Amino acid sequence: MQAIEQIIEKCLEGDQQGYEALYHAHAESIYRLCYSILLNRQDAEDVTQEAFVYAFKNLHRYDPQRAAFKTWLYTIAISRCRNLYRRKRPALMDITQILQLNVPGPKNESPESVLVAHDARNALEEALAALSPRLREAVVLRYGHGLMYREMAEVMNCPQKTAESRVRLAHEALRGVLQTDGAVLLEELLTSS
Amino acid sequence: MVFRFLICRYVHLQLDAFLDSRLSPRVRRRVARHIDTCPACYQAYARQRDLRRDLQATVPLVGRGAPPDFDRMWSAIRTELPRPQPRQTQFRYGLVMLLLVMALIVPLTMGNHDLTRTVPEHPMPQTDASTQTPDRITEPDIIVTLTSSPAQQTPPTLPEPDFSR
Repeated sequence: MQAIEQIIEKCLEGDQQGYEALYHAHAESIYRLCYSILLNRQDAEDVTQEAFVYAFKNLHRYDPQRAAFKTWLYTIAISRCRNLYRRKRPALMDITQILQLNVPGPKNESPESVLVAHDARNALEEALAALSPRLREAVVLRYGHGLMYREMAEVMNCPQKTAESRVRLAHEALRGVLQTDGAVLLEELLTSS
Repeated sequence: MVFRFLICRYVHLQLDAFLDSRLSPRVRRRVARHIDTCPACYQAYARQRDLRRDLQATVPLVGRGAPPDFDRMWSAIRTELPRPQPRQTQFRYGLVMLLLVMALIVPLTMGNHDLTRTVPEHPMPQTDASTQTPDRITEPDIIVTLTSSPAQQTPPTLPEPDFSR
């Protein structure tokens, strides 16, 4: 695979295949990031699309010395997500629908295991949905995308210490929910994936 | 008692960094020693470790179940991609800009030397000629007469017109 800088150079020269390569390399993770934050499939698709269009139109502004391309894309996506949930509060989310759509079902389909998995997934998504958007961003970037605190600070546009404290606060908020169901949740989700 | 409470509070705050191995070796040793000796802090450490393990295992699964149609999304994005400008247009813009710049600069630079020339010199005192009293009137050395020779006085003759045609 070509280095990202070479692909970007191609794009800036007007090569459409370069844009396509960049899109296919990052589309899945950007969509997942948007979905985890917005918890709505349609919104996540719209924001992913918006983020890529913005990034491609402003590709000449990307500076590889300042951040990795992925981090830059995440910054754009997060900013678009914030714009969206500022306009539209996620109060109308249907958690059950989200869960059925987006977490794969268990391998053994006995009624009991389906019920347990359903409860476990409910617990996780409810816990995420109950977090404030800033804390949810922190958890998703940290655990969903494995970003370091330094990278998280860049993406969330805040000091590193703030990123750390947001993760800590999210831990405290999630602990109550996940500790009770933790073992079941982990087992069910891991066997079903 | 208060001192111990403060240590426990400090260790609780450092647990995440401890699990990430982000602490300096010295602080890490001290936190580890405290966790080993304090049952409450060990419990907090174990809870934190389990929570992180759960989150690391489960959060990446969110949004993976039913991925969207990425190709359809790409088709929508492609229509809005920036298109490269043809070189001829760029050349035309360049030419127009050059002509504009020249149109502005040339009138300013032309005739700059005239400007320096028209700077007036120190004015001489104006005096009326009739009131002047010359110190000495000199006679001209040579008087040039404009009388010409007789040959030069005859007017040039024109050729006779030919009426036979």
